[in-house]
Amino acid sequence: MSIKDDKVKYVARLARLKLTDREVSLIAHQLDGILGYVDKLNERLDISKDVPPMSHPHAASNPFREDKARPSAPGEAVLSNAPQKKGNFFKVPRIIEE
Amino acid sequence: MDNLYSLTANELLALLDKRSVKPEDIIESVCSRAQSVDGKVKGYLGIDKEGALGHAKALPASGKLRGIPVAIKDNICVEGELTTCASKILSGFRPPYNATVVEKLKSEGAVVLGRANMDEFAFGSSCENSAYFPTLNPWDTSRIPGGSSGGSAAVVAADEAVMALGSDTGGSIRQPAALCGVVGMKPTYGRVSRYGLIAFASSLDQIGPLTKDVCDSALLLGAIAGYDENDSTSVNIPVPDYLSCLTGDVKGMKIGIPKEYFVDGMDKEVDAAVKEAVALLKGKGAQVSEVSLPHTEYAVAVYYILATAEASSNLARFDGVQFGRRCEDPQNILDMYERTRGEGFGAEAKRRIILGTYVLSSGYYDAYYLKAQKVRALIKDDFDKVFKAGLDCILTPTSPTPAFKVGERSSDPLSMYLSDIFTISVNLAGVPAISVPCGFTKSGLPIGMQLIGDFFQEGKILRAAHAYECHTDWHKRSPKL
Repeated sequence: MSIKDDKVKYVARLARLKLTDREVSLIAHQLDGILGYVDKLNERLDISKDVPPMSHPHAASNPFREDKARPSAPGEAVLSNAPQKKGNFFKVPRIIEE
Repeated sequence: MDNLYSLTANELLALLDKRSVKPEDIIESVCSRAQSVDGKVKGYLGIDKEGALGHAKALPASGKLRGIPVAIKDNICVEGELTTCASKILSGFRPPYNATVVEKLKSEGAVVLGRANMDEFAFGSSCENSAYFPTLNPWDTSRIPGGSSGGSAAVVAADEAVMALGSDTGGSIRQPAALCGVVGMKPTYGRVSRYGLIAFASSLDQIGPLTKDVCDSALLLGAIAGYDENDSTSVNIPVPDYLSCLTGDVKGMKIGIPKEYFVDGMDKEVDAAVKEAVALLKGKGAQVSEVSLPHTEYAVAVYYILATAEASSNLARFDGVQFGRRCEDPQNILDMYERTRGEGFGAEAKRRIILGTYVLSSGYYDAYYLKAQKVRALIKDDFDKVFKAGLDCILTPTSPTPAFKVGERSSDPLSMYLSDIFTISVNLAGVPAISVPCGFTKSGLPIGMQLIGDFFQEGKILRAAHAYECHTDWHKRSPKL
């Protein structure tokens, strides 16, 4: 499967990642090589029996903790790394159009 | 005592017990060593000597690691200290809390000495993907130290730290340990809390020790292992006394040699060194047999689908909102996300985000992601079968080659990915493995072998590794710097 620049641009948009045109064509080229290698899973391996997909080494059910109130991190600590803040909030560009 | 920096943690603890040295002496010795050699090795992103000396004055009254300075890989959160994953997107980030492993180290009296360099977000096998500078191999500074925990391995090899923590998603502790001639262990998935480890691939990541010998590995693992309610994937079973597993004896241990790990194109000196190690263990009474792990050849392909898929999701949090850097003068929210990430991530991180997003995207999910999850189950079955049949450990080379030259593989991502061909299956299955030095090439580069164990059987691989170490002196050699 050959990856076209358009496809990389589309995926980059999904990933919210700005790429230069040079990066787009370099990544398209490199993904061709990587996916060509990865395609051996589809070409050479026949999973005829029903193998359940494995997402995690320990087949555990969802662990629950006791529902008990405990203090959370203090507001100043949480905001201490904010690129921009206003009062007790993270400040970002306007999201809802006027 | 001017060579304290060259001693192991266990040796230093014995001296501290006898009160013949003070923790401050050790910190002074290790820091002055780092000052004289780190210009060549570049293993540290930062050393905090004053902070370390301050901590040394306020140590807990007792502890397994009381007074021992430890280097921390730069993706493990240390409260109030820079923690950047060697990435520009996290430049200036100071975590408001400690990772659980850091809390545990501190409560055992260890002293955090500095931040070890790494491939950005642990994406790489050479430490060349650090956004700051590449770390170099202490045995030959024209070569890479391995990665992604290249800084952790290099500072231990160069005696710039007594021990170090790394993280291992596909070999990131074991491969640099092998290439730098130190001991590196990836514990069983769930043995060590990942709370405060900045996530790469959450179903594969595990924190582990890089040390000068196997005794120190057992010591450090014992200090960091255990259940943590802040990491729901940590497993609540008791932590054994790993030091007491080190009997010095392999008699009767069943060791399997998987035929799939001795492949064409493998470096001949690596092949010979590992086979000699097998012969030595056999001579000491181990029962050695050939075994098969038939799905080994698919491991790298499975890994680069699953690990990048998980990474693309985990890295979504770096968006310029809550922490790290934000692009200048964003026009709107989308512009802010896209430019912040485009400017902040390096080339390999971008490549992996794109690949991971691609394999998860509509129309490709079944062909790539779902298929890879199924083959992952087959790879785990391979291990389950041989361990159920009674094996104690599996012995393989850690890396198919010794350290390669700086720049040799950096323009070809696939050849870089294949550096991890012998370490990746272990993460996919979730089992523990340790790399120990087992020889040197004619040109003086370290060679490592890997011992793989069944789930939570760290004690067995430590025992076999330690018995091997008792009969060899590879781990005692030091690079000339």
